[in-house]
Amino acid sequence: MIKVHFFAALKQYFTDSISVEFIENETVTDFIQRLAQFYPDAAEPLTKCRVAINEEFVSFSDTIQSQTEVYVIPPSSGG
Amino acid sequence: MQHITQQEINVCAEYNKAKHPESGAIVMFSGDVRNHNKGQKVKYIDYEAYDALADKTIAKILTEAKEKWDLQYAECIHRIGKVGICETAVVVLVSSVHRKEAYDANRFIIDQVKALAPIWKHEFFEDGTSKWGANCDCASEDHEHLHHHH
Repeated sequence: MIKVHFFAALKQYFTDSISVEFIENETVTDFIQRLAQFYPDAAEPLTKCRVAINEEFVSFSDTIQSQTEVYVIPPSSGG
Repeated sequence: MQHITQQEINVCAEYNKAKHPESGAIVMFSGDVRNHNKGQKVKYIDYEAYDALADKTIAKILTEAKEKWDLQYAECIHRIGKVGICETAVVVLVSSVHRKEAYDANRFIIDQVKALAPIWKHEFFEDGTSKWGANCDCASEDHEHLHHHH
């Protein structure tokens, strides 16, 4: 399983965190698309998100390893 | 956690830390919560962050600023949680020999932090409604962006 953490407006759909099934060789892009299938309303905001693993931003072509915790990062609005 | 705090930011204390014998210029930016945004009356803002990554991201931005400009001091602290009207949500302090580097570096740091640090504002309005911050809340269209408006 993969634990996925959400922030800000995305918590309205997913709550703070969910666990999803691990899929071999899945890229970050595919992973985000899979999340969008859970909540179609979240599909558009999800396309604007970055993804972080192990406290580092990862690129969309990276593959997700098993047992990782994935952080879905919406566009920043601090300051 | 050096750059993210739940406590009130003491801007005067932070300003004093920027003083340096070689510095002839200190620029401080204080991002304060105002009582209005896009025609709505704001009661307060509740900031959320992915603390660990926000802290790291700000640290990297400060390192980059110190590489680009000759600075004696560079610091940025962002407050999270509930921040009231007139209170400081974020402070950026930079000191350098002359003012140009200090102004430029300070602007760079706040622009990068706003664009890149995983921190989100949740605005609460006087009418009882609330809203998560959008992609960019900049009031004017004529400034630089790291992203494109859709």
